[in-house]
Amino acid sequence: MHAPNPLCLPALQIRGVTKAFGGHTAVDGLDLTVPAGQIYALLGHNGAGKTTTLRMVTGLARPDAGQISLFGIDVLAEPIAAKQITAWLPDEPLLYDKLTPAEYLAFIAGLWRVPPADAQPRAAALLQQLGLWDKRDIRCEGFSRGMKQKLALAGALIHEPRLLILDEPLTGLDAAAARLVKDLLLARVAAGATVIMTTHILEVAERMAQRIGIIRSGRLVAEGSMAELAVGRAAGTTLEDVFLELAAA
Amino acid sequence: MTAMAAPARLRPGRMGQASLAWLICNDIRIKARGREGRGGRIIAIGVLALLPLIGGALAAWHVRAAPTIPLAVLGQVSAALAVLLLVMISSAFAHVLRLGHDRGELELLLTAPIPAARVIAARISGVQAVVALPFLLLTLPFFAFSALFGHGFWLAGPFVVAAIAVIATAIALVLATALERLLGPARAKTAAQLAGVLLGGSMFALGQTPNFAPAWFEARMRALDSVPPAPLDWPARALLGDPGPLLAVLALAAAAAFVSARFAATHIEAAPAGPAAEKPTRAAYFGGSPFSVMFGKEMKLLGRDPELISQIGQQLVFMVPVLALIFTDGQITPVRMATAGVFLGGALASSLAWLVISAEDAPDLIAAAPVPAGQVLRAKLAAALSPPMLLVLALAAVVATRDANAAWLMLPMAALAGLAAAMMQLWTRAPAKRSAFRQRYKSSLLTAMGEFLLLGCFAGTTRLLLMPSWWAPAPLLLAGLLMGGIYLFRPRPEL
Repeated sequence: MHAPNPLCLPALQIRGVTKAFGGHTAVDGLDLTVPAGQIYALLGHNGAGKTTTLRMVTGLARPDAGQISLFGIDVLAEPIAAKQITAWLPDEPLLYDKLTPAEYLAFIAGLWRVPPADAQPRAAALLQQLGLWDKRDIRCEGFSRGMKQKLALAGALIHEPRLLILDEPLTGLDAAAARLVKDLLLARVAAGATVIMTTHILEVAERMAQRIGIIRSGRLVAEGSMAELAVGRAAGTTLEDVFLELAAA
Repeated sequence: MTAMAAPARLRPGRMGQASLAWLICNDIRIKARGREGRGGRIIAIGVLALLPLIGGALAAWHVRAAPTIPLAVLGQVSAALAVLLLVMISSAFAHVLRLGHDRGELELLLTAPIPAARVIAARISGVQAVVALPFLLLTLPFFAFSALFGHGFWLAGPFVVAAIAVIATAIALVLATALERLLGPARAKTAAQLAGVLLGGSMFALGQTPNFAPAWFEARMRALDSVPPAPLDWPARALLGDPGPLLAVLALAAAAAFVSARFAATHIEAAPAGPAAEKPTRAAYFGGSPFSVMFGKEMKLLGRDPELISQIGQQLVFMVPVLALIFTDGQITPVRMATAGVFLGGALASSLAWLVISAEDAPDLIAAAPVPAGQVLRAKLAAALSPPMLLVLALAAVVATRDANAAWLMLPMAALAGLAAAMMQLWTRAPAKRSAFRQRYKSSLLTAMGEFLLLGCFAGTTRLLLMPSWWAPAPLLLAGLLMGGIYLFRPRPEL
C-alpha cells in the first residue's frame, strides 16, 4: 500500500467536528474538505459557527469530538507541525502598539523559525507591497485600522504559510487597500498556497473564491463553486440569493 | 399542545433614566464589576473591612475620655489632614487626566440626548467618590464607634473627609487643566505620575526621619504640639464637629464642586482624540530563537511604556514605607533589608508577570505560533523575573557589605517569591489591557490578598532563617498550601 502523495492531500479536512460552549453547540458534527491551491469562502450568519471552526483549525480551540487535518497533519496530534504551515488572521489585527512594523515582522519570523537571511528580504518586500515601507521603523500606536490590518496580513505572510486562514480580512480597509490585499491573496494562491476566509461581503466571495461553503447552526448546508450553488435556481441567481435562502432556512 | 411563550421582558430600572444619580450609579456599577462572583467579593470586602473595624473600635475606645475638641492633638490632626489632602490630590490627578481620554464610553454618553453638563457632573462625582471611598472606609468605623462612646460631634468626620476629597478633586482639575495647556496631554500625564512618585518618596523619607534625623523629627513633632493659628486649624476643628469651621469647610467643598464642574467641562472639551505622535525607532533585528524573540518582545514592550514603568515605581515606592514599618521598627538592619528585598522583588515580579501574561496584547498570535506552550511560558517568566532579580541583586550587594549570609539567602528566596507570585498570576490570569495595570487588583481582591500573604510568607521564612529559628519552614509550608489551593481552584478557561 502506498502512502498518500502529500501534494494531492486536501489543505483542510474536517470530519465530524463538534464544539459546545456551556449548553450551546457552536459546531455540530461538521464535515468539510478544502482542496489545496484554492480560495475557499466560508459563509454564514453571525453565530453560525464559522469563527469557532477556524479557531479549532488553527489550534486555538479544542474540538469536543471529530478530527481535523491540514495537508494530512493531524491538528490535535501534531499541533506544532500543523501550526508551522498555517497563518491565522482574525478580524481584529493581532499587533503590539509599542513595536514597529519591522520589529513585529522580525518577532513573527522568530516565532515561526524563519532564517534571518530569508525573513529580512521577505519583510522588506511585504512592507513595500503593502505601502508600509516608510513606516517600518515607526511604532504602530498611531496607525489607522487599515494600516494595522495590512501589517497583520504581512505578519501572516512572512513565513510563507501553505494555508492562510483569514477571518473577515477586508474589514476596515479602504477600497485601495482592499484591492491590494485581494491581489496579494490571489498571488499567493497562484504560487500554490490555500486561502480559507470568512466574509460578510458576498461579492468578494463570489469573485475571489473557487469554492464556497455555507454554514448554519454549526453544520455545512451547502458547498460548491458559484455555478454549482446556482444549479436548479433561476438564471442570474447571485450568491446573495443563495446565501439568504440557505443560511436563514 | 404548545405553550405560548411569554413576551421577553427586561427588569425595569428603579431610578429616573439619564438622571444625574442614574449616570453616577451606571459609572460606579461599571467600575465595581470585578472578575469574582458575589461570594468572592463579599469575602474580600469582609476581610478588608475587618481591619479598619477592629482598629477603629480600639482607637475610639482609647480616646473615649478625650474632650470633644482635644486642643493638645489639634496640630497633629491638622498635619494628618494636610497629608490626606496631598494624597487625595495625587489620586484625583491621575483620575482627572484619564477623564478626558477615556473617550469611547464618554462619547457614547455625550451623543445621547442628555445634557452634557450632567454627563460631566456625573463623571466628576465618580472621581470624587473614588478618591474619598478608601479613606471613608478606613475612618468611618473610628468615627462611628467614637459616637457610640460619647463623641457624637465626631460624626462630622466622614463629611469632612468627603469634603476634602471634593476640594482635592477641584485642585487636581485646575492643576491638570493648567498643566495640559502648558505641557500638552502626554507630558502632563508623565508629570502627574512623577508627582505621584515624588509624593510617595517624600512620605517614605518623612517616615524614615526618626532613623536618620531624630533631632529634626522630634523638633517637628514638638511644633505639632501647639494649636495651629486660625484658619489653619479649621479643618481639624471641623473634623471634630466644631460647627463654625464645619460650615466653612462644607461651604468650601460646595464651591469646589462648582469649580470642578466648570473646569471639567473645559478639560473634557479640550482633550484631543487624535493619533499618537510617531516615534522613530532603530532598525529591527531579525534572528534568534522563539525564546529569545519572545523575551526580547516582552522587554521592549516593558521598556517602551514610561507610564507603566512609573506606575510600577509608584507602587513600589508606596510599598516601601509600609514594609519599613512592618520589618524595620525604625531600625534598618541587613536581616531586615534582606527580608524586605524578598517581598519587594516578589511584588515587582508579580506586577511584571501580570503584564506579560494577562496583558498579552496578541494572545491568539502566540497560541497560533508553532512554539510549545512551555517555551512561551519560560520566556515570559524570564522577562517578568529579570528586572526584579536585578533590583534584588543590587540590594544584595548593599546587604553583603554588612552580612554576607543575609545577602546569599536573599537571592534564592527573592527568586522563589517572584516565581511563586508569577505562577499565581498565571493560574489566576484573565485577559486584560496593559492600560488596566493600575486597576488589576480591583478586579480580584482575593488574588490581591493571596499575593500579599504569599509574599509575606517568603519574607517571613527569610527572616526566620536568618534569626535563626526552627519555625522558619512554617511560613514556607503556608505558602505551599496557599499555592496548592490556588492551583486546585484556579479558573480553567474553556478551550
